[in-house]
Amino acid sequence: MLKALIKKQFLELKYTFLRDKKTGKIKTGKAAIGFVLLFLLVGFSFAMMFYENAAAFGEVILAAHNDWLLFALNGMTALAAVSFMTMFMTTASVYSAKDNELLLAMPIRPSYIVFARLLTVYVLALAYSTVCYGPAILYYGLEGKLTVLGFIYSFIEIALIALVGLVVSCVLAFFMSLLNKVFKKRAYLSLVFTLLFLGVYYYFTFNMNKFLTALALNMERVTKTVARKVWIFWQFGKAATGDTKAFLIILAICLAFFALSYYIISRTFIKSVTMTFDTKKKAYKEKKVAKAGIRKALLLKEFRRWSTCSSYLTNTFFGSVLLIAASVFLIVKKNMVGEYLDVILGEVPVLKTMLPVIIIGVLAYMTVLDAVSTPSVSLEGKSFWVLRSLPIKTMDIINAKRNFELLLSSIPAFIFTVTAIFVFEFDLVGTLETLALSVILIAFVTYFHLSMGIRFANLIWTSEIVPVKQGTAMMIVVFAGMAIAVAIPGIYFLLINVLNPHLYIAILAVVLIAATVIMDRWIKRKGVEIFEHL
Amino acid sequence: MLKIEHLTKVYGDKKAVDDLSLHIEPKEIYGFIGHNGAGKTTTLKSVTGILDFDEGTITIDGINVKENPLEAKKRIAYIPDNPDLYEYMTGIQYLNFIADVFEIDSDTRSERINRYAEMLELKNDLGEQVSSYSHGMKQKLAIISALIHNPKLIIMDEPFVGLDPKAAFELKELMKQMCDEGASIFFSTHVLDVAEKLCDKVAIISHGKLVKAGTMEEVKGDDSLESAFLELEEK
Repeated sequence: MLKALIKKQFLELKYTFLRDKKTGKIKTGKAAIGFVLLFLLVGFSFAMMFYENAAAFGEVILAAHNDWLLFALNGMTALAAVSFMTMFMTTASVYSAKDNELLLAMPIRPSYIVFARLLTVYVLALAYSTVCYGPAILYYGLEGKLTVLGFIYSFIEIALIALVGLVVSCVLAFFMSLLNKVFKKRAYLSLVFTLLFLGVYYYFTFNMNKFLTALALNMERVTKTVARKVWIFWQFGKAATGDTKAFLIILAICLAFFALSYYIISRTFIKSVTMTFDTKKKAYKEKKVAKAGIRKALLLKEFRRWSTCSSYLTNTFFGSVLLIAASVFLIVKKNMVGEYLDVILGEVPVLKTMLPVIIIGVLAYMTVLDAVSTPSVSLEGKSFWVLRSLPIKTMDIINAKRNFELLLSSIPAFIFTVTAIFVFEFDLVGTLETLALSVILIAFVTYFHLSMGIRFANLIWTSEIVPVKQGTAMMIVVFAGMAIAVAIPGIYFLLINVLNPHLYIAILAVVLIAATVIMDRWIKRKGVEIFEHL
Repeated sequence: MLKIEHLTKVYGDKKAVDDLSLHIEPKEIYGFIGHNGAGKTTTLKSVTGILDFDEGTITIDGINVKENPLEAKKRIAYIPDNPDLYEYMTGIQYLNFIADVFEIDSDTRSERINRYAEMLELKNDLGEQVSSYSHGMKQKLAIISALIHNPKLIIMDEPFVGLDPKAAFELKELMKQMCDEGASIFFSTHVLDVAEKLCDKVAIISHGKLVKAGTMEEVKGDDSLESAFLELEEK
């Protein structure tokens, strides 16, 4: 029975990762190899990032001959990363799995169901653990310090991190599923979680040098604190350097911790997945509603769609959040930014003429991320019949999608542009050029997003993640958008000696306006036709 | 009210609907029956303008669906067999959206929403997200949204599926009432007993072709509708 359950779980995993979104069939041959290579490439990129961190800390730590601290710190980071990264999969495949009721209705021990499910998550956790912790072992090895025992123990530690990470992710997933049951505004909840995670990530990234300096200056105190307060990581670090006693302690603790957790999860599984909360039904109170026109109703519909879908909201609001954050940063740190700028301009004076173009480049980079209108077409999905059966002009539907993105992106863009103009003290010409170009850019980006959304619309999907993150339209929009964002200042930088900055801005404005007009015409002719035949 | 003339719809090399003609008069309840895949939904979707068709003409209240789709759609309401509504809205938000599209004033929409929601016992749930609704509740919401603009022609695809007995009874009463007030109803169903009791006229479609159409007596004769249908299917 357990074998059958494990087989089912791995089939599900294969289906999730290797299923062709369009045909629904499992990818084979070149397509499967291509996917695996892409997966490896992404893993390699992350591993490089972790290697750089390990090397940065390793240089300071190894110089002080506290080798165990390298593994302790990297172990903590890896555990946190594995727990967070597997949390969503644990929620989906353990607590919110669609076939929970089906399996529980059969004569199967809950512990078997839990084991089979945890096993597939463990495979993923093991991959993440390798990517996060493996680089530290590699760095240590390249430094010529890895002993045979250390090599064996640290490799086993990869499996142990995945095991403990799995338990932590189960706890997080349990609370996540509870919150999902209790909290009605799930989209905002996901947005808050994502922003918190990104906030912590950026905080550590931006302060890396500060932490390294602090570590180098206070090595002895840090070492003592870690050894005393997180004793287990002290043992963990020592094991990776080849300490057999420490390894056996860690192995015993991790296995006992997992066994106890597995016992508790199995015993409480039925209760956890069938738990319902007496969330009071919101009694309907009749309110007088003012009549809205078709266009306003469609715009409101777009807003409701966006604000109630967590993946849609979090994936298309990040640029706006960054623009607002950047504006606040520029205002708060105006003096510091000014001082940095003076130093940079002192060394490369020619950059001064580039400032408006750089600001527009940054704006382009942020706004291409918020492709609100791109998935909005595909997201109509199975409900598309509603719009098609109502007396609404197709252009009104399309315009609502365009206007919603314009509304959403123009406000943060305007705030950022005005702040930059104020902080960098642009003259009148620079101010007018930057303002005009930002308006043109927002229009261009919105039309680009919308055109791609219509051209590659796909109403057939089972999860909203597909149109929001994985669709062809989104891929093109993100990569092409980033290329455009780099090209705007990049081309000027290449032509800086032959082109007057004002002329470049004028040419850029003409090109963007022309492209926007072409896309507008395409939408009105071909786009409407495609939309009506979806 | 509804004239379908020589309707043909082809999917690839298969004719889903083949030269179908039907006329529905005002105040008529017209049943449309046929086996799974016979072409019922394709016909209904062609009438509502959701699906483009290859040949023939469809006019609603004298308005050509292909030439003037917006005017035609203003006169109809469509309730699909599986109401995939906007799950991200609450029931009342969805109804207000539909009312806004049909430009129904505040007092009229409030009166109609109250009347139909109370009749179908959905009023207390209107503040809830559509995603939390059962199939039957979604069906009820789709019915209320269809009636909100007082349509001249109501097109329903399997309207009784998922409804509880009381709601099914209320819907039948509502259908009769709508017809008394001047509307026409064209609906598909597999529940032949209901069709027999409710419809003024009935049409049977098989493999895309109209097999028989007319008043209930003309179609079933002395037999039950079920017997007549099975007999026609076997031919």
